[in-house]
Amino acid sequence: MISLRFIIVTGLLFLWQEPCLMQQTLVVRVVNNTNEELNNVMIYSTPFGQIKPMDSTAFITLKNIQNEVKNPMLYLSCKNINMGSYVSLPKDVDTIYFLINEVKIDKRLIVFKQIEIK
Amino acid sequence: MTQAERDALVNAFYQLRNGADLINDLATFHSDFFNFDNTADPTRLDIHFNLPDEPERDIFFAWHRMQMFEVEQAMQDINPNISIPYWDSTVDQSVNSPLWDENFMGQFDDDWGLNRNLGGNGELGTIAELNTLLGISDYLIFSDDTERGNIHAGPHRWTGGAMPTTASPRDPVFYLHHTFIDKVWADWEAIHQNSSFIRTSMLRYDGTYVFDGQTLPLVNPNNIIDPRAFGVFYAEDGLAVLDDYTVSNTYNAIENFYYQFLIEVRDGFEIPANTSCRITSVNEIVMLPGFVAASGSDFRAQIDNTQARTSGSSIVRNTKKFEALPSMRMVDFEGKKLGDDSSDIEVYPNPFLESVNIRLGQNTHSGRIVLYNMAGQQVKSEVFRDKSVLNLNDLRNLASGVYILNVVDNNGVVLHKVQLIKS
Repeated sequence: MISLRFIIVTGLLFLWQEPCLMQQTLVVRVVNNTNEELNNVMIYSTPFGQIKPMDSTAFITLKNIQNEVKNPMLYLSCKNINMGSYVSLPKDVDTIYFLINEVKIDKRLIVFKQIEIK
Repeated sequence: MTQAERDALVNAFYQLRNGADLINDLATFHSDFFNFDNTADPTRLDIHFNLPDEPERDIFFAWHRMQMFEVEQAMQDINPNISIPYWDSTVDQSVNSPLWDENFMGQFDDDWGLNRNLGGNGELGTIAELNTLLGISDYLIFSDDTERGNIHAGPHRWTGGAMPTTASPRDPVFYLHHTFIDKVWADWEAIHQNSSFIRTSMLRYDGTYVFDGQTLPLVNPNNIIDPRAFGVFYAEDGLAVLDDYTVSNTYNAIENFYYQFLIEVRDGFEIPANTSCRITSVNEIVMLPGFVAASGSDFRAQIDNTQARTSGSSIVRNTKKFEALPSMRMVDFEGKKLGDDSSDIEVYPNPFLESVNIRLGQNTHSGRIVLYNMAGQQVKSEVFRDKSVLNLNDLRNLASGVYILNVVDNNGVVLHKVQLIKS
């Protein structure tokens, strides 16, 4: 085969990035607003198990956030289909609610909202 | 990219969704085998976010290189001049970038219902972050940090829509992003030459997966550490260097290298007898000593004038881009000797810690040495006169990472450019 792969556009834009200061603990609750049973729910490598339709988990405290955010994903299984999504990294946050509003199995898409409380 | 190249790429994406729908198949596969760490059997082979004790923890780069090649091959069946371009998200960070124009990647948002939210979540990686990654010497740490950090994960979150999900290959920009990630790996490997794999087979590319009636090949990741294994070269700053490669026609009956700007064919690029190769530029091709097209080979180098006709303009060529290029003819990115004695330069040690020694060629006696970091900032500059050996000292305080050293003559022409590593 063969290819010459090249950059699409050029133009430099340097942005100052604020240091991302992670705290030591983070409290997370996952709410299932769908009519489906969600299994194998995992966020930041922390298992939340099974969540019944229209139910929620307890508040779970995550420790060692610096390590947990190295896996910034929400995973779950629905009807034996496993899927996931990147989530925003917490910044100076105490509590996060993940509201799962819809699961589109054919598109492997989790529709959710992440609410952060400082 | 010329508009014709953009159109060809866009059209190819649309065509790939006809029939068996390769884009959808890749997205579903990528999602279904993304990660099983949350399931009852976390030991299952998967593609992403592997933990230090998982045997497939090295698979991220190699798997996506093969994925890009699968898509590019399918596109070249449609148009042999297509290559997947890369989105360098460390410099191209605007939501108003031409990348997102309606006549390019922007149109897929509505057409394919992607629901992007550009810039709505997280940050894109920076040149400093990339520089840090390229300075890591351990392959597994480099792979893990790249995958989990902003260079890889940043554009997934930043783009929104399908991109942050395990079905991210639904978005065409996924392929432009992962081609950049592939280039990052190629750049890292050029520096460290330390990639290694434990597994010898990969999901989808394990010799069992069937798509559209065809069984995909078994791929050993150890065989694709160099992108040349697929005939892939990465162009940068308007220059494509073809070197150390033997045309074999393994994947294409005619190996076709196409680029908008300058193509330099250099030492070790060989076209043996009974092989076919085309090298096409919209602007300029330079053949340098060491290039060999053997008797009996089918070889053609050509300037593509059809680009002008395609756009309806007689001037599509980016002549301005080339005004700065002649000074790059003798560029040496590896710090080793080039060509005849007049162009020699040796820079050592590399990697360096406190100082760097530069031994100049016979015809370079005065000028200026300039050291840049990967952000393009000048960090050191010294004028020299009537010297053949120079020393750059007091470099201990520089951050670890990649630097570019330029030797500039009195007319401001860059005679040599050498990539250095600060350890």
